[in-house]
Amino acid sequence: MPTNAKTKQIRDRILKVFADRVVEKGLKATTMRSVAHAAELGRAEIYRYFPTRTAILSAYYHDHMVTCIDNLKRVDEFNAYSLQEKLQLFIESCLEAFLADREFVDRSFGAVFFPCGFNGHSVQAIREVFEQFVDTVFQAAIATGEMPPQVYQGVIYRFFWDYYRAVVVYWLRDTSEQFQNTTVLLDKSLELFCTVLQAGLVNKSHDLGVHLIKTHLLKSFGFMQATMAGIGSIKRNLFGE
Amino acid sequence: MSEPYDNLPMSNWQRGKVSGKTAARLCGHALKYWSRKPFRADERQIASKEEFNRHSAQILFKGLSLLRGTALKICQQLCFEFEFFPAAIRAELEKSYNQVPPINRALVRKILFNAFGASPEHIFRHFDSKAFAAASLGQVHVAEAQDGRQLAVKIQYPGIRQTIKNDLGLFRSFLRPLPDYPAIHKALAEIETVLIEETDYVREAERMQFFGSHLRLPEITVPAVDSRTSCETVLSMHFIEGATLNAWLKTNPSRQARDTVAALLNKLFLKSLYELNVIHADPNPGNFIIRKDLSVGLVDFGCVKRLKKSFIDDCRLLPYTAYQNDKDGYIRLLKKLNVFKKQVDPVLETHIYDTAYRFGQWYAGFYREDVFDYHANKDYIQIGRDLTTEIYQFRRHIDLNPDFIFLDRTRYGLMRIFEQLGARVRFRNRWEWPV
Repeated sequence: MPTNAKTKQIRDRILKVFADRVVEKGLKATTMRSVAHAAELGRAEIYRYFPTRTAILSAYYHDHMVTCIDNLKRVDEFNAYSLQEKLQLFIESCLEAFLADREFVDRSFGAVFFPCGFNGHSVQAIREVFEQFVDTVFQAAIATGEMPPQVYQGVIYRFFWDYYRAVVVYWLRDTSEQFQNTTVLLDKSLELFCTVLQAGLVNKSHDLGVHLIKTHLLKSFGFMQATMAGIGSIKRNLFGE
Repeated sequence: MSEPYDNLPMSNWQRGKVSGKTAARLCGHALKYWSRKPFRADERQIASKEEFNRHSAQILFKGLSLLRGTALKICQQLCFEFEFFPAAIRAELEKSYNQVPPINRALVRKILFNAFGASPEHIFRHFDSKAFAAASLGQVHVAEAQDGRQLAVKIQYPGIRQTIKNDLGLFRSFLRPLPDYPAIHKALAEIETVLIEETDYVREAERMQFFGSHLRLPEITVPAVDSRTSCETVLSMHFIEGATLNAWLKTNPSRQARDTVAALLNKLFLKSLYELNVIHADPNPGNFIIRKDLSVGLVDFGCVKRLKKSFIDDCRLLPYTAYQNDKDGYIRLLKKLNVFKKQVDPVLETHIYDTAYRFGQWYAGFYREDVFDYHANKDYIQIGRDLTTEIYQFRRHIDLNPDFIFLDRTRYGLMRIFEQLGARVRFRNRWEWPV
């Protein structure tokens, strides 16, 4: 077996064992040592794959997101889907893939996606993959004329990232049959989100803001500058240079 | 298939806002009516109540038409039951019959995944993710089964049953101030049963299989169910080539062709009623697929009604009894069918009997000639509609058997189709007419 394949196999085994241990014992009680033991690895060997528990956690979610995005490429006519359909299918695919490990996701999602203190970097890699995908989808929508180029693109991506996290949390609390409430929420909210983007509402709000700033705020700024210059001139006359 | 869905309130808070506004307006209107009631002369009471009902219906329609989807469908059903909706509003309601929110491609995949645990490309050899027709509370896609057979796959919006229940709850709150609420409440319960049944595809598949195996009319095709790809929320059936009745009519078919189709639809109704004792109770033009050889494909078995044999035996005598001008016999039959309440003022009773008999006479008019020509009698249906409105005025003294309502509604729907076709129809038949 090639080394790379073997490495991947062990890595996947660690992730699986880790998920099982978290479900059984909880996140806090799952130690590197116990995971190594359950994965039939030496105490030190596990550190060759993951330096910390947090690294295992973020690897799980990172792999999950990469797999979901790869799977979308196999969907018939995915490129012909509308912006809403692409985003909706992406999030639905993520939730479907979470289904088998729902208990694990319930126990660990907050720790990875709502980090505090030193763990903040753990989510960065996942977020990069996420934003890269969203960017591809947005650029495709702009290229086909489905929506205008957006100002504050970074803010919109950030908003969509927060939206994704909120949907997963909602799904984890959803007790309706086959999580229908999440499906409907996703459908309705994404329709609203995409309508706002397609209508260029953000751009128009930006234009309005710029107009107000230019005509009122900057005008006052000019007045202030003139006043300051006047005061300066009086000072110079009174006290000299 | 679908009309634009702009301005359709989708989120719960939007729907709640629309509902709240409508409820507030209805309550205000009811308060106005009840506060003035004690000061009105007796003779003005009835007129004022009618006016109140009409105005309430307008408020209700304005508010709920914004919600569309299931709420509108309930509104439409109520409109058939209660004539207090003004004619203009009734026409609007009929136009918007299939305005349910469309289901996008991502959601279609999700629905199929929820139903079968697999993506469409694994369930079917090919699946067209764009819908080709609207169904009641859902939509229909074309697919190719793994064995190569063409399928029509009907799917429904997730959680549609819960939406029906929520919307009916809203209706109950809105309509509570109306003086006719007890009757409306009963109708709403019936509507709830019908709508919930319409969303139960397992039941619908059973009904299709029943009609398919028992109807035995070579000119009528009932699509076979593909049970491997059907469940409670997805119904796959063999695809029937052809055009819906409305689309077919747009191709300007000949008079003879229209007569042939009308005769077939009539035959279908009579045979299901008198031989199977089960009727396809949704004679919507979209449910009849007309094929090139003028045979008819029958689809959408969401609303099917089984009737008691004794009830059908009494019903079959109605047209001939009215035709023979046997008023006593006709009234006797209606009493046997439990149409009238027992204790009614004698003067009012005579009035009710007269109106009911006039309706019977009108109905017998279809049988008077060997063939009834809808094209030559364009106003005939309108006369019947006016008589129904007259009968409706006695609604407090008439306790209509629910089976009678279903049968009447189905017959009326069929009459409307014949009227649309402008066809010549032979109404006299071996079940209702002595040889």
